[in-house]
Amino acid sequence: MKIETIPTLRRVDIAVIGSGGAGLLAALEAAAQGRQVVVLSKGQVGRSGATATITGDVSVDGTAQKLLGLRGDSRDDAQAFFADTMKGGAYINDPALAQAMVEQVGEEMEKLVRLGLKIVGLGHAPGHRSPRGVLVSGMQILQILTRQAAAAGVQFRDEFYATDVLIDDGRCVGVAGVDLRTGEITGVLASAVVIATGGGAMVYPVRTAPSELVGDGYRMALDAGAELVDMEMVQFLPCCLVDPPMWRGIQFPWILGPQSGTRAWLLNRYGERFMARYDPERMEMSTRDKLSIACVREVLEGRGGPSGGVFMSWAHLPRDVLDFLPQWYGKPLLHSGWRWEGFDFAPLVERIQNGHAVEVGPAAHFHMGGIRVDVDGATCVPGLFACGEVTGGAHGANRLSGNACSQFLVQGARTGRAARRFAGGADVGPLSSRTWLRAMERIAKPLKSRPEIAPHEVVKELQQTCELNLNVVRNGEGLAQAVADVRRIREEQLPRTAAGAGAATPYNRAWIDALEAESTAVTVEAIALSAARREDSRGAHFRLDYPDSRPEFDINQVVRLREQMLECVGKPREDRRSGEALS
Amino acid sequence: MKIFLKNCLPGDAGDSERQFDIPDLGLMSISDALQYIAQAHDPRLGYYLSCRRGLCACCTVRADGEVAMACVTPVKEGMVIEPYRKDLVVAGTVVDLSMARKSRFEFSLQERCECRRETGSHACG
Repeated sequence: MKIETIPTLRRVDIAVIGSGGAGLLAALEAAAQGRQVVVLSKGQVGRSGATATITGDVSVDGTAQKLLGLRGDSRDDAQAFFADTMKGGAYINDPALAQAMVEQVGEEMEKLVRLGLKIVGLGHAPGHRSPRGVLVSGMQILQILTRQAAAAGVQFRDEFYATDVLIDDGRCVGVAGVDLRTGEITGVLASAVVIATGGGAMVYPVRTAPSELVGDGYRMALDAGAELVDMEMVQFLPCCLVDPPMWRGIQFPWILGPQSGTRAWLLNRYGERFMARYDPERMEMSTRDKLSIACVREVLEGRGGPSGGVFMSWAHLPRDVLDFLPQWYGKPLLHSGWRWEGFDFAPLVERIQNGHAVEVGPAAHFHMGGIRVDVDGATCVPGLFACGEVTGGAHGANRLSGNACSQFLVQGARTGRAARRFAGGADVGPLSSRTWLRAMERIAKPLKSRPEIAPHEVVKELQQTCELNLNVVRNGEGLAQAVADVRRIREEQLPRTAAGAGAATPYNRAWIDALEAESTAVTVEAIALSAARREDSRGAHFRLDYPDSRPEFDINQVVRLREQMLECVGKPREDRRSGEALS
Repeated sequence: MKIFLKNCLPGDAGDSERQFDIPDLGLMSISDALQYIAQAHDPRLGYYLSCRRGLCACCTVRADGEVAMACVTPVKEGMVIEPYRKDLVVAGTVVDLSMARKSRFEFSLQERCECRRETGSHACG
């Protein structure tokens, strides 16, 4: 492949990377007033990203629910919603982001409802003082937003793996990456770029997240000169299946158990109902974070099952207890031909009814941390914006149920409008050859040699590091080990991976894996550095050596790139008000 | 376990089937099998996987002649896997199920012309 020539790249006003809810909304808002907008998606538009997996709630306060045609509850309002969100985040949230989210989600939801989004119910999740969970389908949100954005003139490019934000003279000028449909390196020039690539839960071996979420956005942002915040804060869901491979990371046992009020017991390998040691009052009905911590501690202390989990058992209950589940869960379940999401779990249900236990463990679910942005999605790099899960700050140390959707709705819309305003006043010169060649060289690097180590092997090793030392339960020694391990992998293993000269073919998995391995490694290092520096426990970050929260850690950890190395520094909590720029 | 891929790799013509051995790691999906083959045997095997739970449908293939979502369908001994629809193939088992096919951006105008010429019915531009 020739990399000497600089291609003639097409120019648009705004390029949005990622086609989940955040990216589509940003594109839709950015396209007003005739701006030319392109959405670049690693997957296929409308069928990728975490939005597609939403079968749940958008948090809207009781008063704002009236906008949606719901009865609502006037005793609940944005102020109460804000207070719950900050408390859930252990008070390290960026208050400006949280405030915008709680105040504006109602009007953003109203627009979607007017466009046909169906509300299928209202739930009351822990941490919210009143029922705020407006139940919707993520796939329907994607359909509506894709249709609206296309009607507004947005163009889409599916199957383009954006790997680099192009920066000239300290400002953002475009995007480079691999066209997976052809195997060519190409890109687009843009006055403003919006990163909306979602989180990085795929860096963990057991996870609920869709497979694109390897942390590409974090790596691109750091390379471009932006900062990450709160990267140590990774949310886990308890009681997910750990085995077999097809079911790994699916939270079905939780649904059959505590979620539906069926009093299944959590047992360790000795048959002890171990929650008695961690939360004797609530036992298995404890909160998600407490359950996750307890399950992992049992495993770490040698009382786990053969696949690294603990056991969920229904054996103490009558064998026909699951027959009542549809009634208790409030949905038709377990009937003939029934599917949980796409899965046929009849064999598993039959095993439970025959008295067998199911091995379960926590699965990485959501990243509270991410790119540091202001309330309009602006990063510290002129022209570079970000919105949705890829950003940090809105949720602080932990996220309440339903707030992920509230976040992408508000941030997506605000960021799209801000990018449109920015692109209106921007005048981007021609791309410098130096900038293009540097990106080109990085993207083509895996094509230049034969692999000594397969890229997916490196990813596996990084995932093991996460499982071992960056999991639900952490300690200083393990965190230091994680930092050392990820740095060793980046220095010694990554340079020896490659895809080979023939890999510039459509959808070449070795090339994709090699590029994704870079994003995975940067994400893991950012988590490790932030977690090692935070010597307290709060929210989703739990350390055995510092089990309580400490006032001197009422701060945010910020990760940035300095002299080719990632560094992490503590930063006083944000107290800026809405509309102020990043300090 | 032996499975067969039909019209999934570059150079596949007609109805020839390629046989692959995959290890038995317990209940595995068709996606797990495709990933194994791409990693262990041939990285040119394009496959697509997003939600891994049967919601987004992007992984749809044809298994033993039946349309199936690869991520939630168990792979079975002797199974024959082929792309869901030949006219929508992007590469390997990946088929174009984008919701935005009619608003597709092309990186250059020249590319758009070539794309139209080479693939005929392909949903470009």
